[in-house]
Amino acid sequence: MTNLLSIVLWLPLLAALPLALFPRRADAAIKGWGLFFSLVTFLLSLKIVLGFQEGIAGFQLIESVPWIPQWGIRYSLGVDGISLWLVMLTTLLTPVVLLASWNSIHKHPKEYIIAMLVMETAMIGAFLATDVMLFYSFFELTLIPMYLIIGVWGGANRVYAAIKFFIFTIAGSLLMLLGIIYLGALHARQSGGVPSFAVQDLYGTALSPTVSTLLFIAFTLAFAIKVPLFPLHTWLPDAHVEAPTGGSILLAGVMLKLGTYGFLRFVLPYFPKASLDYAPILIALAVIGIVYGALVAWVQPDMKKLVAYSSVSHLGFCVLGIFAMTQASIEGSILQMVNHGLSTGALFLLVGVIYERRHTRLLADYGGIAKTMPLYAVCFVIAMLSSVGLPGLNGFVGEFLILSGSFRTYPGWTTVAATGVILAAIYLLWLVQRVFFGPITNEENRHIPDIAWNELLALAPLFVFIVWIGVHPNTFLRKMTPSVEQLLAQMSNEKPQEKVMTASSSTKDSGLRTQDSRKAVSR
Amino acid sequence: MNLTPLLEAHWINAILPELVLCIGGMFLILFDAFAPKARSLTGPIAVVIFILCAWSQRFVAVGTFFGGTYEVGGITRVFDITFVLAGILCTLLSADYLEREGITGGEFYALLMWGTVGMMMMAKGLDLLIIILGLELLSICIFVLLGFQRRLPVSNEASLKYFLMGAFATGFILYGTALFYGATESTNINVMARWFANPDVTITPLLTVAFVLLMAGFGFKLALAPFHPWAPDVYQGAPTPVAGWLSVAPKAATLIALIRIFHAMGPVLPQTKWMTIVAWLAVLSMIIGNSVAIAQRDLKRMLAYSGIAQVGYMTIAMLTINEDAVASIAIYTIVYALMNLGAFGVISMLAKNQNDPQTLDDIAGLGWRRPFHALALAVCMFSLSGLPPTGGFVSKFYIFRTAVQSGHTGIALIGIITSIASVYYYLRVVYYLYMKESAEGQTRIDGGIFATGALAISIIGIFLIGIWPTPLFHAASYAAHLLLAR
Amino acid sequence: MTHTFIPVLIMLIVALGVGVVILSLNRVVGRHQRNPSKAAPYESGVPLLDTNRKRVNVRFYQIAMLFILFDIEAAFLYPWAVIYRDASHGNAGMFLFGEMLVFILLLGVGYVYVWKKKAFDWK
Repeated sequence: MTNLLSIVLWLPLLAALPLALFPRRADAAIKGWGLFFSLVTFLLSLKIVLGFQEGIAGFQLIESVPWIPQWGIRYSLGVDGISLWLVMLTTLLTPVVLLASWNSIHKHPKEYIIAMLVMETAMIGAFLATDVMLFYSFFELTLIPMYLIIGVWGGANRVYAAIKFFIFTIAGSLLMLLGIIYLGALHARQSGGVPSFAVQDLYGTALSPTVSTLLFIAFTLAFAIKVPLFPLHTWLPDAHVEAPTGGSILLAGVMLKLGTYGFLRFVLPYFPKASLDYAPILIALAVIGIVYGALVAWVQPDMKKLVAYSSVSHLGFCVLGIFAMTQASIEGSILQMVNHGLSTGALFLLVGVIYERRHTRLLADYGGIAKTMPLYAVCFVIAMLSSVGLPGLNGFVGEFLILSGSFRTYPGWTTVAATGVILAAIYLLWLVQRVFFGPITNEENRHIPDIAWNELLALAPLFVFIVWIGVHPNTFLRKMTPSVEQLLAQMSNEKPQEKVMTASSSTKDSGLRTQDSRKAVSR
Repeated sequence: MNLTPLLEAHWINAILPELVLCIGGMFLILFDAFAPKARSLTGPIAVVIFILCAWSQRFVAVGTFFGGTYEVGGITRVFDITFVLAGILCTLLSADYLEREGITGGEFYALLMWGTVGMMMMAKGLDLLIIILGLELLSICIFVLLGFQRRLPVSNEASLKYFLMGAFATGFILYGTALFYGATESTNINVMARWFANPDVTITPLLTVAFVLLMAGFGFKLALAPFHPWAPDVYQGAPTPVAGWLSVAPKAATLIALIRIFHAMGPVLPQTKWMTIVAWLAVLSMIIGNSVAIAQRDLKRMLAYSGIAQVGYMTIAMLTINEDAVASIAIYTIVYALMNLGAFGVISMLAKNQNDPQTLDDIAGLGWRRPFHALALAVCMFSLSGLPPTGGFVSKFYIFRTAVQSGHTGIALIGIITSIASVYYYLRVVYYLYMKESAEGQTRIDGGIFATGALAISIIGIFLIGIWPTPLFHAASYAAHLLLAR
Repeated sequence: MTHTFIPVLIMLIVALGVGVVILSLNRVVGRHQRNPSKAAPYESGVPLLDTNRKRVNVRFYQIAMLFILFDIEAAFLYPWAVIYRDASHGNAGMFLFGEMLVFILLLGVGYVYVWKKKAFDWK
């Protein structure tokens, strides 16, 4: 299949179109149709992994046809080590979400499935696009279905949350659009009037320091809002608390990664000088986010809000890893994006499960439910431990790589960030203790039905990958190594000499990832 | 005295579309007068006439006609298509609207056609007097169309307001033209261009006054801030399809006329502050339009203010006249016609007393009552706010790209920032459509086959241009190239 | 050049002067008596039959408008007729004739329309 990427990209959308004609009553048929096609998409996306050749840094499985030739915009797709696992995460999470919301969406299920499938296409498109304008189109397209998912199927205060989410993100991305236009215009001038928006073509654009800084700010703002970085994170808890379970999973699992992915794909290689200059600020914000998110999560009375703030904390690690700019930290970041998608996705799903049954998310309403829902308690503890970073589960690998990599370039901030890991253990373990153990204080908790088959089925693949990444991360790491090396090589033209040394020497250093990467590199 | 040179060969081909519309309009009023019983047929007949007009574009002769006062070229064809498109959409929407309101009449469509002829004259006029003539023909038709619901006080108010303001604006334009004539000794744009191209030309304060007068007049017609206050009142009172048409087509005609004038002035613009004035108009329009629209609950008033902002965006592209500027404006007007008429179209279907405002509450929960109509409105809103993959995104991108390439990054930045604000009020419509429950006794949506067809055309057009804009770009940039290659 | 306008100036001054003199003479010489019948809108001695702010049937306006419309349009025929013979050389004659035919045709369409719309009927 030469058009594999296109097929994976458009299949969900094409499956969504005939859904509009389904009769409203055919509830099961609608859900089955949506689930079936999202599963087919996942299976097809496995072929991407199989067809992905290790040891190649650039884009693979490339497809490219002119889209708007007058402006040099092409419909071009490709995967590399940075985007591969994020695409897989998206195709994995969508069927999980559809399965998890099988019984929980009572209002307009048809439109919900359509929105989810459109969302899937938009997110895959953003990761696969190798043309900046194509990326931007998908990047903004994700907003529309998510706005509707939060606003229509969300909680009590959903409209406020939906509009806040939309306005925040679009404010950043519109500024980035201006930045893209400016960058494209500069490139066209420098290349003798041949416009192009291909990701790689724009790498070589010569920028004056002022322009570089301004464009850096425009791009960084857009992605920082999306991640979200510390002072810009206020939309996230609102959006998560109000969003339906499925929306939360996709929002935390995939959409936030568009921000960190954008840093890696655009900000670092396009503005290496400015990135280096402003890295301390971003790292400071990331570390503040880590600690702040963890502290706020600690005191949350609402389980979903707690998980939402833990996202702020975890995504802080990703940003820290990216701007520390070492091989280990960036690989750790990419892995942590996937990890966060898996573990937080599982946590949101589990919070949704219990909310379905009791219609409250307040910690105070629970206690001792491990007795009534033993299977549920087991699942929750696994997801929680993955999020905490227990060795042997995925979270540990990602966080360890980030911290060990970042320690080389920013030891001080990294030390502070490491407290985030401890804080995570505190607030998550405390959460488990308060919800699951102790005496049953609330009579209503005595007869909660345990986790259902569809929810268990939805969780199963997440747990498989949680363990897989924890036990054998090299399956995943070795595919991203060449792309990350290339990214750092692009950066190193601008780097002061000693820092290049650190960056390239990191592969030779000790630590967990050395053995893995040795194997990968020496092969 | 010899009058023959005024009639070049193929002159009849040059004005074929105009002739089709003129004769079609006359046919319609006679049809209405002779067969009042078959009045409901006038709408479909009008659509056929508009399609005939579009088809007649195939036989149009290209060149300059009537003694150098009338230029037919690629760009006028593109704009003709915009005018005809707006006419067709408005006719389709009106067919059901007029029927429901019980005011069907052949005169309505005839006026629409003659107004379109006026716009075509504005687009093709190579002489300020022809442009003014077209403008007046258009304005007179608009006066009557606005007051077509003559039993409604709001409709009369709209008509009278537009009449007073329009007459005032035309006065300004005429006075400006007179002053330009005094300096350049001609009202012909080509002759004026030669005069401006003379390196010895000095820009007297009188010429600046003339330019300001001209911009004030055209600013009224475009509803550019600070000449905008008529727009919300007039849109609110006008029959809704007419409001949609008014917000689109006359603006397009005025813009192409302005492009010709600005292009003629091109050589002297660097030594004047004239474009700074225009830039300020654009900035003011974007800021006022987008910020006041947030406060509106009346849908038509909101769209009026949004229209003020949209014209502001288009004006950004005009600050430097080059091929991209012309092409981007041409494309923006087409997309704008599709999305604005689509939005007004859904509003026109709200079956309620037309004297009352059509507010956001009327469309609450529409998404679950009438999915297609709600989808149409939502698509138009997303397109107006410039989100991909709609035509609104592509055209807005083109505008901002043109501005950045011409070095107007600062103004483009203001445009971007104000359009962030605009997202709020466009989204609020979507919020009412899908996230509000419809109340008891909710306003009905009453759309017949024609109006629904118009919405379908809008949606398809918006997505088609958003996803596959290349053919349109080819046509527009080629036409723009021909216009500017002198 | 300027002196050719002196007669106009004299004319202006004389006109102004006559107006002012007559009006002020009236004021100075005449006797002033105020009474209700003098303050009435019509001073012809007959008492008012009805209020003067009376609605007039819209048909009057309609007829007046149509009259002005066709009257003014007919007035366009005169200048055309005056120059037609001098201006018509070769093709120009046909052109001018055609122009007038189109003009009359437009008038005719308007006339038929107004007629069929029963705007000429008084009822």
